[in-house]
Parts: sequence; structure tokens; C-alpha cells
Amino acid sequence: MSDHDRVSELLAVYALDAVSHDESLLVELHVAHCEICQSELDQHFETAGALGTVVESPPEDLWSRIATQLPSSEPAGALATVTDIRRAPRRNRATTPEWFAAAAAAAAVVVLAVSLNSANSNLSRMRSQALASGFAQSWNAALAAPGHHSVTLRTPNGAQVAKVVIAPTGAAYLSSHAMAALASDRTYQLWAVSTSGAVSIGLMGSHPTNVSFAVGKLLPGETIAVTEEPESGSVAPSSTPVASGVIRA
Amino acid sequence: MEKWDGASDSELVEGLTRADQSCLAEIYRRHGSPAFGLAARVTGDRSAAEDVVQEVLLALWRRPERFDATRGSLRSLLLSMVHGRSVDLVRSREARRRRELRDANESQALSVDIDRHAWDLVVRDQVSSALATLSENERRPIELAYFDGRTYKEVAEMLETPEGTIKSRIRSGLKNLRAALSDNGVLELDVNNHESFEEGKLS
Ligand SMILES: [Zn+2]
Repeated sequence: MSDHDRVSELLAVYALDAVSHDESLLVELHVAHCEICQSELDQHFETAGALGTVVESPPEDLWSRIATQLPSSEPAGALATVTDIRRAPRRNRATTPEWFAAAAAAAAVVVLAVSLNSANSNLSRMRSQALASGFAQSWNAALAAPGHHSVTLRTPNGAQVAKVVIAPTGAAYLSSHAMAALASDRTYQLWAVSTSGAVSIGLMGSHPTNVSFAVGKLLPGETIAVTEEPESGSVAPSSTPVASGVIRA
Repeated sequence: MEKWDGASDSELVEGLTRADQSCLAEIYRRHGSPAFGLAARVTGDRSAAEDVVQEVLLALWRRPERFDATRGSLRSLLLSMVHGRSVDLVRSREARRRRELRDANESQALSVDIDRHAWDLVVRDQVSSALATLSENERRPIELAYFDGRTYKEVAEMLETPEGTIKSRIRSGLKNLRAALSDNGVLELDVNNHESFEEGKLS
């Protein structure tokens, strides 16, 4: 069964959040480059939204509690950060072949999906466990795929801290057991660095171990770098990389 | 806040990119009750529902670019975020513990702002009648998955039906539901089809 056939059977249950973590990863990676599935998925979300029209007034003070949490400074609104593939901005088809360079120039979002497997969130604990076996499988499959790239990320001192494997499909996997846990209001951020600048690949949380993401297309010679950033991420790296590595063919 | 009365959802989201808090307040006014209602329905826990709504609003504040008007409405984006987080909670142990600790007399019954939510109440009625047009075979799996936060595999087990069958019943059920909702005007069938795909350009 082709990827497309398998995913199209999962779209409806995905829209209802009724799939396993591995299945959602499969869907997210596929819809990122399949307009037919993306369009069906959008429709399922709209239908689910109607289904979810359950009106009940929240407590009177809920808004004021939310308002107190808004930072007075500028929000991270324009940030090139990641994650919700369902609603990641639609890419412009016309620019697809050059999208990486275009995105780099504009410091726009390049990343399609990042799913975190970090130890510091109750919410993600279940997903982490679900991912544990699936991650190893995906990792091995990517390593076995002809045309994959693998990158070792090293600190400026040369110590290995993480390995990244990028499958020809653009699915990428980072595994690290040597990245120190940050304060909870900080995050590691992943970047693709080329001659046209650094583009955010995604936020990895404060204590990443295994992270799956989609990078679209990376080219040999480009560098993958990790910086430490404020929790909501940065538009451009705000500090020198804690680790980096060059993509080899 | 009245200054945003006639603004479109897209204009409000645009305001978020300028850090305009009054835009988020208006978004909350328009969509807060449905967001809270769905979270409360799925989690069965009003205080968890408050957390969910708060998280989702702050997530939109931080990343307004998640909203893409060509892909669907702001309402459906918010509800899908609310649903995802609610389901995460339902599936975590923490949620179970919190439900046990829930303070029974914490909240009074609150009335719904009928004027503001008149259309939502219509939608809710229409959704109930549209659901009723589905066969039991399609309706049950959808309800168990969506409102109880079950995975399709769990639904298959509960209904003693093969997983593949459940998957395809949910899919055909959602399509039938969509057709019924467009018949009664709740959904516009072409809402997501501003850009029809061009086969030749598919990679
Ligand atoms: Zn497809």
C-alpha cells in the first residue's frame, strides 16, 4: 500500500485526534507534500469543528487570568518557529523548488513538523513512551534509506552531543543523550545554516532526547546548528551554537 | 473592544502579530465559550477546561501565523487545538488524578450569552440533527473518538469491530456529516477549496 493510500485512510481519525503518535507523525510528514490529503484533512477539521460546537460559558474571570499572562513586550508572533503541521502556513507551490533559499532569505518558517520527545512535560509523557519504540524504528529506516544524510552535532570543543539522520523524504531524526537540561523557560532551537543565513528548523524543548521533524530539503554543505533560546524561540539565533555539524552527502 | 465588532477573524489575527491584546480579547469573546464548552465536554472537568482554553489562547498569541484563512476558519483552528489538548489531558494520568481531586462546588452554573452565541446554538442543534442522519455504525465511532477522546483502535476494541472498518466508518461518517451540514447551511462545501489543486503541479 502506498504512503498516500495509507495516510488517506488515517486522515479522518487524525482530525479527531484518535491516532497513535507514530500515526500522526506519518500523517504530518505526508500531508506536508500532498495537496490532496491536506485538502481532505482541512475539510475533516472543519467538520470536526462543527461537531465540537458545544457552547458553555467559562468562568467570568478566565479572560482576566489569560490577560495577565500576556507579555507586555512584543509577542513571538512573527517568529519562525514551528510545530502544528495542521495549520502550518500553506507553502507557495510556485516557489517550491527554491523554497529553501527563499525561506532562508525571508527568515520564514521552513519546518513542517516537529514532534518533541522531551522529558519535562506531563502532557507529552504518554507520547514520549509511544514514540520510544517507533523512534528507533524510524531512525533505523532512515539510516537504511539510500540517499540519507547523517550529521554529528558537536560542541565547539568537539564533543559529540547529538546525531541527526535525514531521510530522502525530508523526515529527520535527532537523538541526543548529552544535551544538558535547560531552565524550563529556555529551549534548544534547531537551525539550518546556509550562505543565505540561518533558518529555524524548530524548537526542541528544554531537555530533548529524541526529536522527529521534517526539513523538506537540506543540501550537503549546509550546517545544522543548535542554540539556546527563550522558551518561545527566536527569529534568528541569539547566541553562538552550543553544537553544530555539516551535512555531508 | 467595540472597535473590533465588525472585524473579520483574519483582521483580529493580524492584530496579534502587532501584539494588540484587544484583538485577543475579541477572539476570546467570539470563540471562548465554544472553546471552553468543548474542553469541558471532552475532559469532563471545568477546571481542566479553563487551563486548556488558556493554553490555546496563549499559543495563538505566540504564534498567530498558525492561522491560515485559506485553510479553514479560526473557529475550527481553535477547536482543533482545544480538542488536541483536551485529549492529551484525558489520556494522561495527571488528568485522572485531577478529576478525582476536582472540587465539586467550585463552579456555579453559568448562563450562555444567547445573543452572542445564537448562531452557535443553531449550529449545535443542526449538528445534532445531522448526526442523527448517520447510521449507528458511523455515529458511534465518531462520538467515542471525538467526545470521549478514544483512539480508533480503542473504539474498535470497544465495538468489537476490526480497526480498518472503524477507520473507514469514521471517514465516511465525517463525509456524510459534512454533506448533511452543508445541506442545512452550517458548512459551506467549498470553504476549503479556494485553491483547487492542479494535478500537474503535485510533486
Ligand atoms: Zn496523499
